[in-house]
Amino acid sequence: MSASPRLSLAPLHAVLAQLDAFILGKPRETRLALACLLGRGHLLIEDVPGVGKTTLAHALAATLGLAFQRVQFTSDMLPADLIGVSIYERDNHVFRFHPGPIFSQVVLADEINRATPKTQSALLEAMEERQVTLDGETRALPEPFFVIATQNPASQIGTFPLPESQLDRFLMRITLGYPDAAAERAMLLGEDRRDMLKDARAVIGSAELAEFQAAVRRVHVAPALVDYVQALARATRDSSEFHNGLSPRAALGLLAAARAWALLAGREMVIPEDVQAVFGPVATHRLLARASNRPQPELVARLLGDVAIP
Amino acid sequence: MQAERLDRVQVFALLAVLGGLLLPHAERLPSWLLAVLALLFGWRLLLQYKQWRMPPKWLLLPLTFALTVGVFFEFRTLFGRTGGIALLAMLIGAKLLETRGRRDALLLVYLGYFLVVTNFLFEQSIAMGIYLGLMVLAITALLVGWHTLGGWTGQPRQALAQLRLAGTLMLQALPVMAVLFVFFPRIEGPLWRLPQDRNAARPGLSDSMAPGSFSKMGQDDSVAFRVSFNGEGPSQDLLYWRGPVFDHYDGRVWTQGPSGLAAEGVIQGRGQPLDYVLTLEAHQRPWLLALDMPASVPPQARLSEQYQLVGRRIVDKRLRLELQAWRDYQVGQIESPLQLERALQLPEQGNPRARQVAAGWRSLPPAERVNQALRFFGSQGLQYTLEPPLYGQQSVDEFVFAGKQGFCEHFAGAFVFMLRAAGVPARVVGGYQGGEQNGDYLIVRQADAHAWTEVWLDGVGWRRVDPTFEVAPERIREGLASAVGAEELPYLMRLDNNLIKRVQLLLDSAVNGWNQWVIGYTPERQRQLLRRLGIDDLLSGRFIAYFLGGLFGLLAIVAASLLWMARPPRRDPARQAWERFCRKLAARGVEIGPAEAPSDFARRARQALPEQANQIDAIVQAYLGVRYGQGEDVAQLWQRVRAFRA
Repeated sequence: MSASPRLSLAPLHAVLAQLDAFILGKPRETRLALACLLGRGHLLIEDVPGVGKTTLAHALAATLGLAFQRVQFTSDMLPADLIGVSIYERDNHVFRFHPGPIFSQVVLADEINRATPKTQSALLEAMEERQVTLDGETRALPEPFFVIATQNPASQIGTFPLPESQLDRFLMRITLGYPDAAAERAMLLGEDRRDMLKDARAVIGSAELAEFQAAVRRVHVAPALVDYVQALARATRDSSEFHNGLSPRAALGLLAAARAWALLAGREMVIPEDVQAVFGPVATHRLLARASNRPQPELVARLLGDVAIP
Repeated sequence: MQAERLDRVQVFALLAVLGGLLLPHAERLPSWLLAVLALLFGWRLLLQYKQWRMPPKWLLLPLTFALTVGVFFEFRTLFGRTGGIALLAMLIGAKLLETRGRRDALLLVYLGYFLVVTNFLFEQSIAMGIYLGLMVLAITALLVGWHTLGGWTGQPRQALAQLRLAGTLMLQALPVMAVLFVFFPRIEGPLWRLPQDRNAARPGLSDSMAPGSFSKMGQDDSVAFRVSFNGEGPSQDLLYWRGPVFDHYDGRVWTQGPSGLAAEGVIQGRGQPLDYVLTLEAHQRPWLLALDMPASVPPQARLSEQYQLVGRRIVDKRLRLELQAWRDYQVGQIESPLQLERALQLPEQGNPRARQVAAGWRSLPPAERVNQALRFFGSQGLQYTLEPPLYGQQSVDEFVFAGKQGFCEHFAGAFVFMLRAAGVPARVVGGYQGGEQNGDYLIVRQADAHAWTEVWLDGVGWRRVDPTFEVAPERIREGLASAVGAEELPYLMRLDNNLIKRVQLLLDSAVNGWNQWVIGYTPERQRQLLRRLGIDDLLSGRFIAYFLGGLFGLLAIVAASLLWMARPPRRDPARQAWERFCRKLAARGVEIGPAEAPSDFARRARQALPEQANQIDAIVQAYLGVRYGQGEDVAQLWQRVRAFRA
């Protein structure tokens, strides 16, 4: 086993327990969301309105004890509304930068596909470089920095589908779906989610989160597993079903997500099961089907079932 | 095959390759036929570029018939080498006009391979070999193109890939080709004995000698033959390569008289005969050349009464002769009166001054007359040159007493004339003298052609006398180049040993090797080689066993290397153990899917075999640990897998 002292996973389980208290009946999705953040990836939550996307984002930030800003994306939103703006101060005769909502540990970009591509692309640099350049000045974003974006399915009216380059920057895309009957009933009978969120306490701090993120990077990946990841990436590239195969960035992301998933399972090595668990959320939004020009989870699942584990 | 119409690139490539294959035949085909061929090729090209309709059947049939008739009237046959080629060329041209799709094109490609073979019927030089090798590469690339999955796009990159694949195929065929070349029973088959062509004259020794009628000679540096001696060869001044013997003189021209076969053992040699191999270039005449005096007669030849080797047929292709020569010999001590009479023949009149001088020698004994004649030639101030003046009717008189400039034919002709006039039987021998050493063999060129004389003396027999030696001994001792000025010589025979000459000699040695081992690989040589390998007969059981064994051995090596290259990557020991475990479970009906993760499989297996759940869990955990973790114990995994009884 690894030489480093074994990290207690109890805080992570506590985080999961609290998340599951907010989002009823979706343990897999909450676990994926947490894995995404542990793998230092940005998260895209896609679903129809009212299934708890925002609640999940909120709950994640609150539970992890991170500074949180919510930005409602609209079609008339400008990049400055996101990044901030320099304003001339008459008293001091200087321009002073007023940071926008992006200068926060967790940015909830709500309904990101309602903004114009121009505003969406303002997010690009921030997401990849974890910094913002404005008026020739580069400003670092806080650490950790996550973008949790929610979006409505593209079929909804008045949306601008995210460009592929931006989709590739989200480590995972998850969908919540309607809750099952029991979970919905519990929700209907229980407290208002918004009130609950006000009382939500931070289970871990950002220092502890950074420790877990470092632990994720220490999870062992054997050559045999790299073979598997490569085989999957090659299969997507060779397949005639998709426009483009997975990018090398996506393959890296797949490995990072699988590591985080393994850590959550209390393992110090990644096994094919971990890769299979995260493959759908990591790959689906990056693989546009030729036939429909949209992500097709069934195709991705079929591909996963076709690629032999080496 | 309507769906697979040829596109521009394909038609152009096909026409180019077929044209390239017909090109060497161009010099053999009559010009009207070449014109027709060009017309047919051009027509096909236009059909493609202008998108015209293909000519209909009712037009093609009479056209083909007319072309066939035309070939027949030109060659009086549809078979034979050139006639056959002409017919083939015409039919290819006609076929082009109905070549729409891939199927027709493939037929033409195969005809292309056949055209390659037809070129070898005429020429088997290295250059032709290389050219045809490249053409084979080109046709094979076409063939690859028509068998490429997804079609032939004609992009340069694809063309390159086609060529590369064709090259690989050819390289792969090389070992098989080599084995077949060496071992396949060689036949001096009818293929090589196709009817002779008209007008196929080649340069070489002429069958008559008319001193004075040519004013130039020796400007031809092409190779007459090559010789390799078994051991040390004789010195330059003894290299007399005996060719046709001229014993009849009509006052102007020396010709060969009729000749019977020499009696057995007429040449008496002393000491060890000299073994050598002579590779004679085709010269379209029956005689062969042999070092004075032949000690054995090869199977391809007979020995004439004048000790000349004569082939059984015209030398129309390169001939490899294994010969022997006596360096020390006596010949013709007892000569038939008829031969002696022929050796004294002179025309009724002409050259009175020469006759007069020779008549003065009659009082001397015969041997002295010869010496007197040599002295006479030495004292006349005669000059050896390759560019003598032209001599007229009284050519001997004009040469000896007036012009005094000549080369070997003048010397030999005049010498024999005067000896005969003095009553000594004598004759002119044509052939070559000398040669140029190139590594371990000797090159004898057309320019080395020479004429000398033989005189018959009672009690001695025929003796070689070379009057040229009296006048220009350096011609004999050191070769032609030292006897005349450089500007008179063909370029390759000049003495200054410059780079071009050295390169030429290097090339010549390549040509010689090619002739010896590729062209000269006759049934006889094959038998010799096989005998050295312990195979007596090509059709013996032993040979067939060797041949088939070799062939299958080769195929086995090829197959083994293919299998080795396609072998699955070396398996991880943990993976092997896991697969064994999976096989054991499969025997119990629990089969793992290719993409099924081990723990998912374990879950199913536990359900199917609940009593072994713990064992299954332990194995799966051990496998995951070894294969995906760090430093787990493979031996333990194996142990568990072996112990597992499903």
